[in-house]
Amino acid sequence: MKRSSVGRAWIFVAALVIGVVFLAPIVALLSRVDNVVLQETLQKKTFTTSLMTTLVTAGAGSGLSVFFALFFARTFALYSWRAKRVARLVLLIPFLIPNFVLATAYVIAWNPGTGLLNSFVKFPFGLYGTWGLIVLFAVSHMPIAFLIFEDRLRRIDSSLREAARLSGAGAIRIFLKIDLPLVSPSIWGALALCFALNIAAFAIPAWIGAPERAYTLSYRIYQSIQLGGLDGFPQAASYGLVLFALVLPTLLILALAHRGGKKYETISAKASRVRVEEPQGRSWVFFQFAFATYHLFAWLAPLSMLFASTLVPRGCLQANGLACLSELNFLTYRYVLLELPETHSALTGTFIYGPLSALLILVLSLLLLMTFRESKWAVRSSELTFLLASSTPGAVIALGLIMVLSGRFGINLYNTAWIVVAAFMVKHMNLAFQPLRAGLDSISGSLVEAARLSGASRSETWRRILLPILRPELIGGFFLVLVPILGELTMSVFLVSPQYHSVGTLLFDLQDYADQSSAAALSILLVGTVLLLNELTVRLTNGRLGY
Amino acid sequence: MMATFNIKGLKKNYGRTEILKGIDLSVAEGEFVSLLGPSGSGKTTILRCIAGLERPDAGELTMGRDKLSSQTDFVPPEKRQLGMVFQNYAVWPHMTVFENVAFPFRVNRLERKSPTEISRLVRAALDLVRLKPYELRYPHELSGGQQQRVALARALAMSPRALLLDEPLSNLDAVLREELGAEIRRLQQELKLTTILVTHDRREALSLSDRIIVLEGGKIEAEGSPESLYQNPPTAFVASFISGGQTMQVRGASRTLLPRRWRVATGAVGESKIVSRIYLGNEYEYWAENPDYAEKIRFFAPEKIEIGKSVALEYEA
Repeated sequence: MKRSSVGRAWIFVAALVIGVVFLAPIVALLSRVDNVVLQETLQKKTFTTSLMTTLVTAGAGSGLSVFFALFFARTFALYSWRAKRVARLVLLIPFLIPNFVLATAYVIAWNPGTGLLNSFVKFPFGLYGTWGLIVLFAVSHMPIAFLIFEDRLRRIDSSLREAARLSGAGAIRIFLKIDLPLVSPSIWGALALCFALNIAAFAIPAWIGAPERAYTLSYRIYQSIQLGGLDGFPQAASYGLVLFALVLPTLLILALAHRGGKKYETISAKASRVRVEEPQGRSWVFFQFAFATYHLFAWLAPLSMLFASTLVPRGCLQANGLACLSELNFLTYRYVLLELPETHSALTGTFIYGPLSALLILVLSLLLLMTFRESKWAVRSSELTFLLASSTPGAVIALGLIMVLSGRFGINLYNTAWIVVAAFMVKHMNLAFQPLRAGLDSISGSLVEAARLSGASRSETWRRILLPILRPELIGGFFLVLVPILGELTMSVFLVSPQYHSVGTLLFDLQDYADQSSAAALSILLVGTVLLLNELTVRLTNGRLGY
Repeated sequence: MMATFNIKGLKKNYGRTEILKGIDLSVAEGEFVSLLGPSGSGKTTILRCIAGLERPDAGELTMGRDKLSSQTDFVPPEKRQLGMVFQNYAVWPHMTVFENVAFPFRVNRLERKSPTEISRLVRAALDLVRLKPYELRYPHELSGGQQQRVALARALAMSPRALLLDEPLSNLDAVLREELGAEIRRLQQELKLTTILVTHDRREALSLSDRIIVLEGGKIEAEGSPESLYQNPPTAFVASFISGGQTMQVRGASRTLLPRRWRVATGAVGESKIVSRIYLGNEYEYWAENPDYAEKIRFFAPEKIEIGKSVALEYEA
């Protein structure tokens, strides 16, 4: 059923408005780049050092993420065992918990002075600085690469491996000669994605890089504003431009990897088979050992220390070590929840404006898809807009929004919570729009046509047919957006105001005041909430979304 | 109220591709008409234009006295009162069998019905397709054949002015296909319902229809009763598509020969040498070489003839 020309014009205008609104902050910031300041900034030694730190840490971190992800993904894709879902959740936990929580845990466990784990295992080459950045980048983004590889490896027809085996190839050779070439486009894609996330990260550089003066570009943007205020804007914009320029090629690689992935698509016919076997033998024992060791050091041990530090008197662990564990209590939680004056506004910011932003994102995504239902180009152009916005470093979006929403264009949201809501919408629309679009695409057109022929109007068809079928995607989309919003810091740190604080910004302040116990208690509360939300997502969507 | 369809000069393009090149056809009240043709012939597009799911670029479409579509008018699908059964069932997965069939009543604002009345009508429709015991089940708890029956019940429940069938049997296995085909025909005759079936399966069209319209390249190639089209195909394409006919060069002239018109002359030894044989259950299908024909002759015979043997074949003109 084609739309009239008025309908088509309306769709065109709507798609154009979406493009302008969502990309305006990016364009605004980039247009603010002053040529002279840019030249000066690029010539400074501090810029070169920061660029190198960014490239080296982001590059090495993504390389390590991909290496470990490939190792784990192969076993998860090919084998099935009893506790596989739990093992998968264990693997994905660093992805679910906010980066600043993981960084806080590492600081409590391995900071050079009072790290609780220093007496057991020293952090190789020291936690603060380049090495710490590489390790934390690798750990925090490995699960993303894992999800990409697991999906790709699952799609490989088992007969391809069986044929190699019958030809005389062993497990390692099959992995190197069959699996790896078939997932090679995904490897480039995963590298690009992890790299983009690493260079845009703020929390890990702030917690781990800054104490050793290993500044990344995203931290430099923060510093420019912190030290220079509004006068620091041109310099921050210059750093933003460089950061954005580094992200663009990764988007191109991602697009090419997606096309390459299609070329390697090995499962499309009904006849293809994907067999999942029971793991066994020495390689299974080795895998279990490697899995346990990796996750023990990557997050279990540091997070346990984080948790332990919340159950003992404040500062005791740092002063007396693990001997404090004999005096377990919940006083830190009591202090954080009832006595710390900033907690109330931080919790309001995170748990009121977070869900509100997620809801607005979901409603807007749905309205757009309803409007664009019969216009593929409008859906695609919106998708591209949201993808570009989500790939843009948070610092660039935040500074852009400050410029656009400070009254210059008639809207002044600066120093209000609504500018943070706007930032979340720009950054995370992609997370809701894509699964909803995919869900809608998977609904056969004949279901809609059958409803129309039964006498249902367009709106009735949406209300009675499409929305009920899309319910899992709607619920899942809400949580998919909410989880990263709860753990957001990069944009919040720029947009924080007397009216808006979040758990992230409070943790950042507590870190500055060296109140590690309170930071740890808040972190544990946040981790608990995120894991609960994830479990809810899995249950409410029958395992279709969530982890 | 049953309907008579009249279609004049129906045209439809997708981009630069001409899908329908000016279709004229009519379907009488209570008639079962099949639109038969290969992929891309435009048969589904005609059905979707009748349903209102596609807006024609040109032409006029009327149902009874109502103009459904013309240059100036277009009645949306929800106002046409047509029942349609889709190839992929299109049974809503979040509704039970009962709710699926009741849906048309629940969304029809013009003829509001009480819940009791809706229950009665839905159960009557389910009874028609023998699905009454399944009314509380969800589609994923049904077989493919049962799902297609739900779709049929839904289409019939609202007493449509006509029934449109878009390859409704092609996703089913052979046994179910025959069974449901026979049931569709039984219901159509019982309800005297104007029915248009889209299919690329000649056996389906031959066994179910009162009339077949053969389409090729967006145009009507031929139309007629199943018997007349099968026995006297008017064109080489129809002969090939419906009767499995062969167009061959015979002594310099091009002729269309139907495999069922060949007879084996008993006792005579001829020049046709059997090169291939397939057992079909009640008869055999043969391929034979004959020096007078450029290609192998295809024919059917009840008796078993050894491969390599030469027989005399006679063609009944």
